[in-house]
Amino acid sequence: MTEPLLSVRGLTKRYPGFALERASFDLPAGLLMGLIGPNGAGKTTLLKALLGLVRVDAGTLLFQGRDLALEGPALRQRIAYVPDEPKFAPGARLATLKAVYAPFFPTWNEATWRGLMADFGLDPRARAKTLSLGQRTRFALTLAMSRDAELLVLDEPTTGLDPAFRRELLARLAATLDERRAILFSTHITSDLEARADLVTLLRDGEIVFSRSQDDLRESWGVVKGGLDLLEREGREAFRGLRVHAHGFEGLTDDAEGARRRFEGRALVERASLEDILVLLGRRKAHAA
Amino acid sequence: MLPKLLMRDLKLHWDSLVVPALVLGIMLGALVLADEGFKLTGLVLETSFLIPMLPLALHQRESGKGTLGDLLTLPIARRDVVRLRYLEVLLFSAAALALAHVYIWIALSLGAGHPHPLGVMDRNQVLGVGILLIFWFAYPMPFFLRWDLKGLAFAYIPVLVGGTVLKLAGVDCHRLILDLMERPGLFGMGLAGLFALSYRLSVKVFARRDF
Repeated sequence: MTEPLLSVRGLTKRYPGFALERASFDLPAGLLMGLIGPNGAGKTTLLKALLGLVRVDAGTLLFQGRDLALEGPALRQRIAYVPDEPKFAPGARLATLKAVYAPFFPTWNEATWRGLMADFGLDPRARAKTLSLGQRTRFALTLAMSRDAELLVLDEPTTGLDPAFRRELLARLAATLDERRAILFSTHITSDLEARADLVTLLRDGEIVFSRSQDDLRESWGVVKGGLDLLEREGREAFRGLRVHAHGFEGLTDDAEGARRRFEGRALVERASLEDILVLLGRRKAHAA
Repeated sequence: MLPKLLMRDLKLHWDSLVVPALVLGIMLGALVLADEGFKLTGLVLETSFLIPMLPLALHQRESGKGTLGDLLTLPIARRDVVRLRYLEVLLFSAAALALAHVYIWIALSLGAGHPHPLGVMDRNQVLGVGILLIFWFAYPMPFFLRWDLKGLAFAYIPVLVGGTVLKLAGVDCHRLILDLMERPGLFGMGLAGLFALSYRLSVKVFARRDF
């Protein structure tokens, strides 16, 4: 069996009031994985742990089978990261920022960077302090995408970007995938992932709910829509997540086929979108409380 | 890796070095030119007082602007960042002392002042520079790397309190240090040891931080 490009095993990071608990998943080369979850679910903590920005309390992070805790600096040559809010020395010009960044990467491709700067509408003479959040993200992407990195780790990269550019970026990212490259992409804009992600990992309250292919999710997850009397008979525990309104309910199930058989003629069972899953699972705890 | 990091600092943060360099230049100039019999000791020590703060200022700038995380995602170990700060303090100190000597040379050429009979710097002045490097850089650095600016308060408040208590108890710390300097070899080794200990501690505390 081929070794995954990235393997996360039992990753645990505890803060006062929050813990990322025993997160495990694999990301094979050639695929784009979307990491979704409500705010505060632990997405950024997980990504930062990959980059060595936070110390983990337990677990292992393997990149091509090599331990990131032991060989982090060397392996970071091959992992590019774009944070959710890229920050740069405010007075520096973009060309200067590139000039101090590129020498750390022997695989740096100047022509690619110049091409991306032009395509992303950025002027190398501009100063960082004059850029909007979206422009800073674009610039961070030019740096990350010019390094020939094997793993691209993107934390909410589409936040602050206009829809047209988002679409173009996602197409570009997908085009960079090959048998030695993968992308780990955190976002709360689930429509971005529905178009491009091969795998989806859902984090909630610091725990991984699932890490599966989109095809599997489409097959197995569904939304049951029915009346309040049905909900009363079946009980709330029959669903992974629930939204109740004045005239009925929407319940999330991870066995859509079973639900169709069980509720035949009494409720409507539709395929769950990533947004349905995110919203309904996110509500379960609040509802229970 | 260190030359690349140093170049990065100089290219991105040159503007934060300009003001201290100007202050230093004016201060040294005033010291040399205003006092006919200028005191070399004062000159050297004043120079050394400012310099240790510069690497701390550079680090604080990275931290304050939020670019420290960006720095740490480069393919470098955290200890490289610590090493950079310790290298910077030595380089800046050397540069400042070189500048001080240029001023002295100018002053002497103009016929002002009286150089130390043993040369530009004597033994105690060299040791004095070492003491200032320890006090203003090596001692607070682990606190600073752990807690940023708050760390400076954690480092110096106990010193202020302890110093006051010792003074009230009649202990003359200044005299104590001068006595210790009578054995310069041992004293120099002690300073080097403290510098090395500070580096080890700084590496340790910086490695434990989350960003």
